[in-house]
Amino acid sequence: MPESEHAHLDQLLSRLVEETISQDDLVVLETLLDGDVDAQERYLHYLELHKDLKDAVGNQKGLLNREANMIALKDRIRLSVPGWIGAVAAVVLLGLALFHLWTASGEPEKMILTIADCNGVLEWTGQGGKTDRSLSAGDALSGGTLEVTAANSWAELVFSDGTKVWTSGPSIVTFSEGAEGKRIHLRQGELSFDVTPQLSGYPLLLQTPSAEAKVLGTQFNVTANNVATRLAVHEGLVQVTRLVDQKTQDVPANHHIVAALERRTSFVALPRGEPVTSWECDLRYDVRQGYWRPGAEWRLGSLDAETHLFRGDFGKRRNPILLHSVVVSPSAPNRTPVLLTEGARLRVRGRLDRSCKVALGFGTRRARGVLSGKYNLSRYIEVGEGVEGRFEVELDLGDIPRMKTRFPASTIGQELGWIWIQTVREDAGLEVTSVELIDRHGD
Amino acid sequence: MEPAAEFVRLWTRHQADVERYLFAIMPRANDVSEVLQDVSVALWEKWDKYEQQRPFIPWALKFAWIEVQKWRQRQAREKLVFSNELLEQLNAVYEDGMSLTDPRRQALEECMEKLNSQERKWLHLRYSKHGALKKEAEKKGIKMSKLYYALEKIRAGLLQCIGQTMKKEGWSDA
Repeated sequence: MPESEHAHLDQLLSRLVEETISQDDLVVLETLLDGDVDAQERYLHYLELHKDLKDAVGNQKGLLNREANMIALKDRIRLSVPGWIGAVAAVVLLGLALFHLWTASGEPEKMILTIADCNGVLEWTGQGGKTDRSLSAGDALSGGTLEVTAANSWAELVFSDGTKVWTSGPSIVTFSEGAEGKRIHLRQGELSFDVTPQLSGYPLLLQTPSAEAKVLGTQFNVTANNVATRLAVHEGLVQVTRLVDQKTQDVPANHHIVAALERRTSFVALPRGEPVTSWECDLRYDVRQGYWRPGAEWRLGSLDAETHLFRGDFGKRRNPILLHSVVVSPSAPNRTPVLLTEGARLRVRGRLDRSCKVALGFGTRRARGVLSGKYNLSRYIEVGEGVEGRFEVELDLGDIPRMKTRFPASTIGQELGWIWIQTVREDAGLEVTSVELIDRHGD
Repeated sequence: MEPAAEFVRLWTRHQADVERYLFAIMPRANDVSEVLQDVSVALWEKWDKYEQQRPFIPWALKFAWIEVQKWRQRQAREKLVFSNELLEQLNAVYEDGMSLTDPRRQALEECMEKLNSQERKWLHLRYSKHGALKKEAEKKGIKMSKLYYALEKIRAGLLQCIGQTMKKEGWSDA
């Protein structure tokens, strides 16, 4: 709903809560609300605010009376408890709390990692099998398994020696550290490493279902699933062993390698391509979400939107939203990176059964491959007559706002991670026939 | 704990959440208090079916929705009531956004601190004693429509501030 329409809606809502609304006004209000989720959200927020304000004034602990209550409370505390008694009480309570903690836990667990930053749906299973779904930046962790469930979730973890590990979802990774050094087991998903120099003879050991890597100090990315591991090195050297035949390869800077369980596949370190600044999606191979439909004589090949449930960035939606999405990804860690430059544009072509609102967005990665930001906007796409629902949208990347203030305002210099095109709640038969990133020199 | 005691404990704790939901769906205070009573009776009647490991609020809101529909039927001839279809849509949107209720309330606390003394005064008069705003309008010779307009602006400002605060704290949906 455009901002200008809020004024009209607010006027009606004000009359509604003041109980001065007429029958005619109510009909208009109902028309504005019917089928418009944005207007319905505004309505509910307005009514909630009205209720909260009512409670705030009616309740002595309410918001409008809080200041007065605080002053009265402070006065009472000042009158009844001399300062030194409060201080002694605090020390005694702290002592008791520490004593309780010590006796209850026995020998304290050794913390090996700290969460430097994170976003989205994360699940940590620590020693003893206890699961924690409320991880946040600053949490110290002992050995255990981290599950990053959603594609837009990620975590940055730091070992005590400064070694950094980024993981983005969906991933399952187990961390441990003992006398033999650091051990990381990536069961599936994606990790990026910035490893500080390790003690000679005590390398960081990375294990996946199909490979093992020994690392003494370097920057690299790795993705793994049940059958293959792809590893790309940015700095330093990584020694990789393919488990199926125990062959070993050194992978130097700016090279990548694939270690698959299938013995006949190539196991050779290859140079990683130079970054490109424009890119045309190959829908068949770059798809992350959506169904490939091959073209025919009379129609282009396309990706049909896949219907799925979105549970919120924080996994807190009780009733998830139904999304119909196509997601494509140009920058798998082993492929040529796609760099975002000034003046770059995103062009999407496709088809819709009818005119509707479409959300377009993209995620970016820093040079080392971890998530850096998410950018998104919604456009109402009018499908004209006689074009069989075809549409084309072209957007300057600089016009697509970031989804959180902590994401970089500018995308310039970042790698394009993935692009989504989706309709929210409404299934409008979205098909995508082409996705392109065009740099300023492009057509 | 005794079943009755457990019910009283949970209902006392969460009654305000149910009331808030009713208030959003059916904004007239008199209707809300009537339906809230019906909800508490319905919950108690079905208390033996409640599984303790399930969260209480979603369970209670299902009953609240049933009571809203019954209320809608009773009010079928009343003109100042939304259609069934719209109530259903509002119910769905409310459930979607329910997890953000507490952060919104916390954001409101911050936003209230940004109000000036005149704005606080109008809100206090509007939401304290019934008729206090009208009295003040008569005393000061101000038209009620002007005061309603001022309140409308204050509420719009608070909503904008809440939205901005939520965004700053990273609450957004993709």
